[in-house]
Amino acid sequence: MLAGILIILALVAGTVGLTVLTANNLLGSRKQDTRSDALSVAEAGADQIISVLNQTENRKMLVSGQGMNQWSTADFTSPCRDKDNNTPGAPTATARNFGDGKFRDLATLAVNTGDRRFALKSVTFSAGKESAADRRSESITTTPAGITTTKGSFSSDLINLQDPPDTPSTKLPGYNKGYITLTVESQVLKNGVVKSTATVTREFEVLPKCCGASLGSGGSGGLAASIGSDPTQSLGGESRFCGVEFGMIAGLNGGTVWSNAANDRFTKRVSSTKVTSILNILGIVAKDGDPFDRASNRVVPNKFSTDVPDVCDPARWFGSSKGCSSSWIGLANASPSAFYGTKDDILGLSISGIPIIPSAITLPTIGSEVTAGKYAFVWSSGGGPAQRVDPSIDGGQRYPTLNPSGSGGFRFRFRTRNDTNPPRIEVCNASPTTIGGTGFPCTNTDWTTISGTADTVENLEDFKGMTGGSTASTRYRSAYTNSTKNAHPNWVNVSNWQWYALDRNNNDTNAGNGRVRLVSTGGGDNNIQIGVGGSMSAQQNAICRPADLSGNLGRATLSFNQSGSAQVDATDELWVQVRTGSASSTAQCTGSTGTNITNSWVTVAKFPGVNSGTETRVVSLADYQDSDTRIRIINGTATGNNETHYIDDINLRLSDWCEYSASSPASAAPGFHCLGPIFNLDPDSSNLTGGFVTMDASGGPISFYYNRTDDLRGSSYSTAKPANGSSPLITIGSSAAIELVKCAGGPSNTCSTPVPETEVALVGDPDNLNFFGRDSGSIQVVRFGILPSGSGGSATGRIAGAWFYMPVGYFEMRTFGCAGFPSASAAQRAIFNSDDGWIFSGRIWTQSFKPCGDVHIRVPPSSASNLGAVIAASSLLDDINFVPWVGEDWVARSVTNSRPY
Amino acid sequence: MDAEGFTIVEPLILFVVLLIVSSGTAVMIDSINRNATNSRLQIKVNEDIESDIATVRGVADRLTCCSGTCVVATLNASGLATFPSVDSGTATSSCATNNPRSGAFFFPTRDDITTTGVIAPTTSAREPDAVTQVCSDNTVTSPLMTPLLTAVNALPNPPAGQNFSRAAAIQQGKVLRVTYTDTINSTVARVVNIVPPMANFCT
Repeated sequence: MLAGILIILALVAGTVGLTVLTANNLLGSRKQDTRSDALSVAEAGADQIISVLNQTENRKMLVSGQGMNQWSTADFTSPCRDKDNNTPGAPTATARNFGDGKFRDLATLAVNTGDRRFALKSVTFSAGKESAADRRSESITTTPAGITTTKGSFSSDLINLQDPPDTPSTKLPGYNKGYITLTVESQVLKNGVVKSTATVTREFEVLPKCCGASLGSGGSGGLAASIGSDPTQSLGGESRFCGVEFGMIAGLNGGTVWSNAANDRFTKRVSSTKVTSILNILGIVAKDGDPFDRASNRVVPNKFSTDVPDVCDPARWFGSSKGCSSSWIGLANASPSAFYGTKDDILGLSISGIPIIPSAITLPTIGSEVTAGKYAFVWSSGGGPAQRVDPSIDGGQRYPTLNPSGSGGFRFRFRTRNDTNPPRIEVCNASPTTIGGTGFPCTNTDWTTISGTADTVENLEDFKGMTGGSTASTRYRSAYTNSTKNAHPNWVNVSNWQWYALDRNNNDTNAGNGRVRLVSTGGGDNNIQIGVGGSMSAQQNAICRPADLSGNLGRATLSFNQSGSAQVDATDELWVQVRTGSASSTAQCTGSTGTNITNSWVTVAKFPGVNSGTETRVVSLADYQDSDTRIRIINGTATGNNETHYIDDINLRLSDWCEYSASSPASAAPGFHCLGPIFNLDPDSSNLTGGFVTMDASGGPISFYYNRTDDLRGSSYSTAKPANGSSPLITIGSSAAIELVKCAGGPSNTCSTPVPETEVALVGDPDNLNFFGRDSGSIQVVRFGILPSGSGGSATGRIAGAWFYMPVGYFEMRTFGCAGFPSASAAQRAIFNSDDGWIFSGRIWTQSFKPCGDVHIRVPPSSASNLGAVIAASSLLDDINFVPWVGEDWVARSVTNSRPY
Repeated sequence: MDAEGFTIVEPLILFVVLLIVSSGTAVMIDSINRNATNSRLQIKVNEDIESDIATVRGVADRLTCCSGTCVVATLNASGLATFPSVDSGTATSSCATNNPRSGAFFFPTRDDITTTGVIAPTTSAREPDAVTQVCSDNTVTSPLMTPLLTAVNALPNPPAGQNFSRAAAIQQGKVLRVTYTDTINSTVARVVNIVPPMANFCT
């Protein structure tokens, strides 16, 4: 019995125990299930957070390093910009709210609701220094209470697409990657009671990439597009070129960039309150795959040829800075007081930190008189500009030249008017003497229209039928007097004579010295010979006649045929000189030896002697409009015996050189188009102030064209004084400057309001002031200069809204600190260093580029999203394409989830 | 006179007690069996859900937009996608590779010049641009995520012999949320968020 009872008790106990065991087992299974649920919720929460942060507008938060307690207000503006400089949008509230560390419903993200909740409890941002193998060596860990721990000095700059040192640009995502680590806590509730919690920590890889692009080669011209891309070089299939900015383009037709002569700075405005450095200077290379390699196309100091400069060479340094100084101040080819760039500039590694992005794109051609292009303006048949470039008339070289004149320096003002019908462009030469000043204004009667459609007025003197006067006073009676207005309306008589010879002997029959004579060439034809029968002292023998150029400012050219005796050589120069404001109507073309021979005349052209054949000489008298203008052709240099100059067919022509058009090339907008003049604003004396040109675009944009294939001007780096065909197209020295202004309302005589930087055309469209050069051929040199006055937004004299497109151009930007310009004062340096201290806001597309002095260039939005405007159609085929955003952002991914890249 | 030994009552009592105990034991054993069965079912459900999550992730891994249109690729016996690609010999394809394990599998590597019409639902005929447009849609009707949702919904639900059901839905931000319900207990057993690799290759 007892044994039976014991057996029963054992059975009961065993059964109960087994029951409890299995019940606990079941309970454990269910608990484990709940636990798994909580883990899943935490992981799902981490995925949800990364998904939100991965949205384009929130990506800055992946690398911000900001304390979570700052997330609600911190600046997480995306670094990406579209063609209008817009960001992808503001960071979302959902993303910012994760920083509060509160539990959120997995389904709705509502705070403290739902049965499955998660909360972000900490974030660690980490990355490594450039090239560091340890990509987590710098980090910041933050909790909802703020930053808790730091290791090293983490910054978003550590996760970038910068080149590996000393290699061409490749811009491969992943080289400088980082990590973001999330710690997420979860809760699973039932009937409002927390049944389970879990905490997971997950690390996501953060990869830099180009804005608007997927992961991939990000071509950028330095790496072939990844058709069947090599996974070892590319993280993905994207092969489009990274978005670039087309504001600064150098290297066209094999050019280069110099930056050693500049304290250069290039900025762009990314918001009303924020300015950053521009993304790139685009370096055009020969073909896809070629880098703008810093070997053949590198930044090069101009004084020491194209070799890589030895920065330790004492010959490069001034004074105590010789040798390998850490200060890097005082390059020998620069002004001692100025700072000429960083070590990298001098070494040719950068242009003040702005990466040169190599690309093989083909820009649209400008076009010419023989080739089609996008920007060439077709001059109206019969109009002034068309006649001036007609090759059958003086070789088509009757371009205007604006030379400095007199001790005050050359001053010229252009203004466009749309209040007239048709709209027109006018010029005046009485501008203020200071930038932004209003003194010495043009008056209403000073202006001359240069954009009419009238035919050219001719004043040809071929010396046919000319008769000589008395020998005591060398003078000639021309067959052409100004009494025949229709034929020769602008020549003026002097005391019933027309031409006067200024002869050192005061008598064209005296033997012994070179004389000025009217000589018959047979058939009733004559010419003028200077230096007959003897030698001449410099500037003593000339042929002279007055002209009435009233109301023709900018419109006159003088041409003549030059030949000479066999004894003449190139050093026996003929000069063209002009004088205005004569004391009397006859004084300046007459006179005895020494009198009125050399005083107060301005030399506007110098031509070498000709001993074989005939040369047609063309001289621009653009600067003159006086009713009593004296013009003479004189022996500029001394000659020996029988070195005689022959002069024939002197023609004074008056014509326009600009046109108005209701629509412009590459633009439906109206505009004013001008043959490009030579702007020679560097005076011929070092103690004079340089010239000054004001472009008033109030009535519409101005474009200057230097694009004809037979226009070979501007091929020399040095300026002849006066300018000649080889002189730089623009020369600005001795504090000379050009300014661009625009005023509302009617035409102004004194407009001095700079064009604001916000008034800018889309990249590839004509801007307020445009200079178009030749597509190919000899170099076209431009030495541009700007000297702003005042500070920041109220500064005057600086230029905004300009575009230089010169495919064979050598473009030099000069300002404070450059040779010939004053050094910047402390105040001016402070302005330069400020975000709004730019001197030039616009785009420069050129073969070679050299900033000189304290150059701060503001580059307007110029992203690739307007490619149709800036890229030739042939470059848009197949895989040659750009993403339509500029900048670099990031994407985070779970390495374990996304395979095996 | 008393005789030693069992009375008839004692065995009866013992039998009754034994009967009662046996009955109780039987009930307990039944409970034990049920607990054990439930435990096994619970574990199996968990295992099945984990397996199914892996299956869904596998589907998500095959989501690609390299052709300009987002699809879940079908794989052949070699594990390669069956669509044309550059490395499978189609020179003009915008897909660089048909290997889903390559990073180049997801985003168009270039514009397929044979594509002349607009790629629905975008406004571009250029594959990279079309996918860029698709990527910009973060809504619950994202054309990037819809093919994935369709493919997941085409999986057996519930799979044969398994005690859960699956419900998938697109969330904002290119997230596929999959909710698993234990059909034995009629309770939500698991919620997972799945971000397809393709989403990380968006622009």
